[in-house]
Amino acid sequence: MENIEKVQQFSEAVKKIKSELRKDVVGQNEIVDNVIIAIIAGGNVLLEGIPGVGKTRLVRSLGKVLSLPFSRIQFTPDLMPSDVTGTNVIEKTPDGKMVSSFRPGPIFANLVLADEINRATPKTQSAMLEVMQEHKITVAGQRYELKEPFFVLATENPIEQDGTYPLPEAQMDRFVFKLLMQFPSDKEIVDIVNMTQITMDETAEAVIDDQAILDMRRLASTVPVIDEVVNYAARLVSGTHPELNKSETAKKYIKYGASPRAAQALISCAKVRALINGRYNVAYEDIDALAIPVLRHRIKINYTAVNEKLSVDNVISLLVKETKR
Amino acid sequence: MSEGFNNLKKKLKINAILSTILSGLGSGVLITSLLLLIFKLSALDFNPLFILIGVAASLITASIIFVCLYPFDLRLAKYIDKRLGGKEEAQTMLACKDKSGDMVELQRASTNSRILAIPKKETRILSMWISAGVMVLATIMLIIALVVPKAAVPEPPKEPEKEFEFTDEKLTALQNLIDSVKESKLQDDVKSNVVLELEALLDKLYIEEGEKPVTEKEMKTLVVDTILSCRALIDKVDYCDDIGVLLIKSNHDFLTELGTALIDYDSALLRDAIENVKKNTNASNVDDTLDKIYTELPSALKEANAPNDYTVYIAFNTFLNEVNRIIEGRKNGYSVGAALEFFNKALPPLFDSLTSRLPIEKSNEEQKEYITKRLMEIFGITEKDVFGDDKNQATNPEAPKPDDDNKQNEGGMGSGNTIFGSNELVYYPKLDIITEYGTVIDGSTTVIGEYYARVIEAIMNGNYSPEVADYLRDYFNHLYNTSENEGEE
Repeated sequence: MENIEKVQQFSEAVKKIKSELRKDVVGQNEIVDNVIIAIIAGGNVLLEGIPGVGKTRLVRSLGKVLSLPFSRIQFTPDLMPSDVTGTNVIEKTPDGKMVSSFRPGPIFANLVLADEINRATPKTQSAMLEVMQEHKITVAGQRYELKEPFFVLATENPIEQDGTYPLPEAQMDRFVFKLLMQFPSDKEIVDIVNMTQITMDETAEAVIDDQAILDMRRLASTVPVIDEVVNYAARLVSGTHPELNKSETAKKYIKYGASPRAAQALISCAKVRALINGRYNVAYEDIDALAIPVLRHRIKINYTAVNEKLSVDNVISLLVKETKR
Repeated sequence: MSEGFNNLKKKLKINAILSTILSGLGSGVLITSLLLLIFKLSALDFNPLFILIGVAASLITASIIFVCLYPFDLRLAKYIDKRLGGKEEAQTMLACKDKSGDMVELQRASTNSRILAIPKKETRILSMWISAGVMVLATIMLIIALVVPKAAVPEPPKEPEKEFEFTDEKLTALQNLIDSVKESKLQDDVKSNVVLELEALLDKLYIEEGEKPVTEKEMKTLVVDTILSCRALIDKVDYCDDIGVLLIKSNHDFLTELGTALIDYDSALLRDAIENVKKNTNASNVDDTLDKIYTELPSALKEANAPNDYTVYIAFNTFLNEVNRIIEGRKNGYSVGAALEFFNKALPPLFDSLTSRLPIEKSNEEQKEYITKRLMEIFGITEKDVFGDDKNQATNPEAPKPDDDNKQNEGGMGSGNTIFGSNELVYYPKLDIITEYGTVIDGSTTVIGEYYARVIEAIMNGNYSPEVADYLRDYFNHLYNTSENEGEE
């Protein structure tokens, strides 16, 4: 069966991607796994972590492994939308005519690293909205399609809160995951030091191309999921809304809940996760495993949770325990 | 569905059916056995209808077990997923059984191979063993229920019977009763038998030290037996009231009036009956009168069952012979006048015979009622104890009726004369009358009698100790006798 080969190729490709990424990224296994899931699922990822934990390195390495054109946008408060999307410029042709030509911005890549996205103004941030959602850009009335696969990996720096513009909920909702890059352990720091003493450049090599990723995406979308699991995902998402009175955890700790995009993200990414783990169907455990990265940026906890020293992740864990299968 | 799924389903189906049968049967037998055991231990008879309870339990259990164990597809899929590690593989395979597609088929094939790889030992069914265990338990319970004998009905604890206390007052009263019967005018043979009965009663009730005491129940039985024996002895020689009861049902006035006179032991009524028949019998109805007398009187005599040597019986038979002679004479040519004359001549002898017997039987009847009532009073026996619910047996027709009894027992001062002591009946041998105590006042003993009556009342109320009671009795007896002697003198 053709699909059997595809599934085998899928598994091999994922293994290769992971092994190559480990050449450049020390530790952060969960981050790597989830980033791969997000890419295959066709979603964008928001990375949060202190400077120097390897956010940029991960994306750059990923671009190399996936053979995808990579661009990095360093967001600053003075960054204009046109700096992201590109703009039309008047050029003089060799024969002396003045013509307008479009100069694409750094967004025109397959893999985009939007560094410190919360430093840009809301206007610039909103320029990313259309790109992330539709994979299209409109400049001066002209629509430009981005090449698939298109993947945005944005970073947020939690430390420098001065001069930052928190991302609006609508934009946050467009990220399929929010991943927290933890400070590496002592051993990992040692490994980082030893690795970077040799070279600072990424050493990972390309293992797949854009077409393979698209094939993997198509294959993952065919993974069957039973209604009970879909209903479970739906209950989990609706359970984040305190006003719906479906969950004691939500009533107690959540200010506002996640949108239906969270349920879409859960199922899409669960399919990929199942296939990565060698299964051909989505299970409850896939939903449970992805609940935190999918929901952590889509819900807001209230002062009661803060008072009780509960983090968003803690509240989501409580919610998962409370939701019946 | 896949081969592995179907195989497992088949296996679990068989298990469900077998478990259903075993559990259903086992529970039915268990319930029935328990009921049987309970009935046996409670000394009750087992009603076969209770087997229906066992049947109902069996059906209900079987239904529940079947529903719980039957491998419906979804239930089986969840069971398989649990066995395979909980990844919803079987459930996905079931949900997609009607779908096509490469990934679906791949998933199906993968799951099927995993199902087939489940070791057979791991699918050992616990429910089957539990059902078998229930069946074994039920069998054991059934054997126990059948083997255990039915418990005996426990007898209710016997309450210790109250002992009868034969007080001095009761003893004296009984002795006085015996003495009064001895001095009565009962026929000698009847009198001696009645006295023997009373003395036997006294012997049985008077317990020496060391002897087994008489209980209240035994005392009651003895007294009731004595009363009935005494009454039977007296009834054995009296038949006037029996004949009278039969005669008053007659169609002829003479016989009816005759019956009334006999029942009331009334010589005056007897005389009136004779006079009336003489007056009312004439030429026109003499034959009819004679026929009726000759028809109805013999049947009454026969039904009364009086002995042939009974004086009243002899008197009636003599009268009947004369009546028959008149009837035959009429057939042979006697005139009406002659018949009337002979009839009128036959009546006086009848009257004389009956009037000589009536007072005797009246006295006997009164003595009988006196003995009955006195024994009842002394020992606290009721009429119901003696005669049951049959009030006709209770007392003679002259005795006060129940309504009269109630009136008699009402409290307060009556309109009659004041009596001293209780209203119990007393037999006065010298006067040969039975009357209420204190109503007979002998001139020579008026004052002494009044005091005597008061003392007796106090003794009977238990106001004095036995020694003082004896002293007082002796004192007043001596005083009473002395005054009588002085009176005679």
